[in-house]
Amino acid sequence: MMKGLFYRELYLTRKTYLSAVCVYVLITVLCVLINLSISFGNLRYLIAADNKATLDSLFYISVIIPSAVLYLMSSANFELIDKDITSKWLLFQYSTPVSEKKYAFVKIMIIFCTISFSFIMSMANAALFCALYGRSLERELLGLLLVLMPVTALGALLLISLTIFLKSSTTAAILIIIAAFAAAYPFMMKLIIASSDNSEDFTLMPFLENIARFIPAYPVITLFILAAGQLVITAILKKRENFPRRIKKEAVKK
Amino acid sequence: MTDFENAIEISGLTKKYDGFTLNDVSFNVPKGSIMGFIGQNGAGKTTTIKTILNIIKADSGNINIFGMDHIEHEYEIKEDISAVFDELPFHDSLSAKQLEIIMGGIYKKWDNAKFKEYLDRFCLPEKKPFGKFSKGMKMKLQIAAALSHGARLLIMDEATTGLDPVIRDEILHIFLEYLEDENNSILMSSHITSDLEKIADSVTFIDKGRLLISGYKDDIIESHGVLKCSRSDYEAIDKNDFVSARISDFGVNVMVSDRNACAKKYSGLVMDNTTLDEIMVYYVNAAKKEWT
Repeated sequence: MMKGLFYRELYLTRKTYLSAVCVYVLITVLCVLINLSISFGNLRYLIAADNKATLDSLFYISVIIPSAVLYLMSSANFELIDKDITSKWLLFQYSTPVSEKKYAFVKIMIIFCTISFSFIMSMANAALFCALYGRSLERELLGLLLVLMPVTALGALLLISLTIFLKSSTTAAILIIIAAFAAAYPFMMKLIIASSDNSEDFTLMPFLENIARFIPAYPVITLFILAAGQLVITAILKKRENFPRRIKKEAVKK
Repeated sequence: MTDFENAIEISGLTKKYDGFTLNDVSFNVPKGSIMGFIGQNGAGKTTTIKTILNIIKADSGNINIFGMDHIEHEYEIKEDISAVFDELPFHDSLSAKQLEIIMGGIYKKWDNAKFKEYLDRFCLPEKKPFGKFSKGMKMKLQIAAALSHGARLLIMDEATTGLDPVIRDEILHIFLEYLEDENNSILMSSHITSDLEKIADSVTFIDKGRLLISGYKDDIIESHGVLKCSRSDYEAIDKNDFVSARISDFGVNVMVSDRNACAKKYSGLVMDNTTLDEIMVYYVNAAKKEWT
């Protein structure tokens, strides 16, 4: 039974995954070109070789941006759940022997696979830039790449759950973006104030060190979030069409 | 699973919404038969079907499918059920080839050869995306999928609505073939009563959430009749003897539910045969008793 559902999910989302990998490769190539230009091209006149803070930032940005894009694009796959609702697949599925638990499990497993794949690709990216900069893989960088796992898992699961609940991926995405901004606001403000107060000494290092302190916890937290997601999505699906708002609409329609 | 009399047994089914109540609905779909489930839009057909499929939870009442409780044995039952909806529930980018793999992974008894046979029979392309299918092709595809996993019960919700008469006829023919196996049954909701008149063994008629008639189609059609009379004749008819009366400038048509008794009682009046369509219209207006 799972085989059919896995095939369906992978077939219908293959373009999203493919475009995520393409964007990832493009951004990585762009970052490599920028770094080559800093080392050997015109940009070396703009950034001095001893400007450690700027070079550090560039290194981190080069590793993090493509990885974050890959994580988000491959995991935040709300297009399919939206189509499942609009194409009435969910309604049809309730008439088949597919249980909500299995449907949710397939979605969770796909998220788990995409997050794992994104992590492997981000490690490959980190290795590339470490080689370019002649640096070793620091704990701070590893921490940053690992912390993306639970963040992405949480975002993807919230998106799926809210989309099923609200029957609209757009509303769900807007709510999640607002929530993400609200959660990040205090931290962003601190960064802005710190950078404007003393720009020369401004560094992300303390923040990265804090993230690195919990490296072993991130995979565990990710698995915990996915397990919780399995329960939440199953519970929402088990409501089937018993949400009052939707039933009223159906009753009027038919 | 073969040891049951009725494919579906519904008793006392009630579901309340704001502004609509499915009220104490009871009927059976005998094994090996096709039941037409008739009613105008908003009558409660879809609600009943969704409750049978456990998509909507009933407030009260019991539903047994193949003699088993439809909630307790839900997934066991659903291996042997096929639901066909008015719209294709598969993504537009999929093709029959992919659907075969998906459904093969969902149903234990999925039969690839049978599915291919239906595709050939319906002249459906294997590799064309469903988005490029016509409405008729989409419906044929749904039916091909529904009949390819050994389902013992087909539940159809307005499946033939919007299709042209040729395709409808072709589909109805497939249903009759499907019913050649006496273990198979069909519950077919529709407001196109002419289709049901062609193939249904029994009919259940629902209106505003209430069950009005349920029984064998031929019995229902034979027991009902339309009395053709003038205004003055109409005044002489006992109000308890008829369902409702349509009053026009040319006279009055009165729908009676006991044709033989009324033919005797009002022997001077002309009694016409009736159709499911007419029965439906007269019953919908039964509360008003007289209508134009």
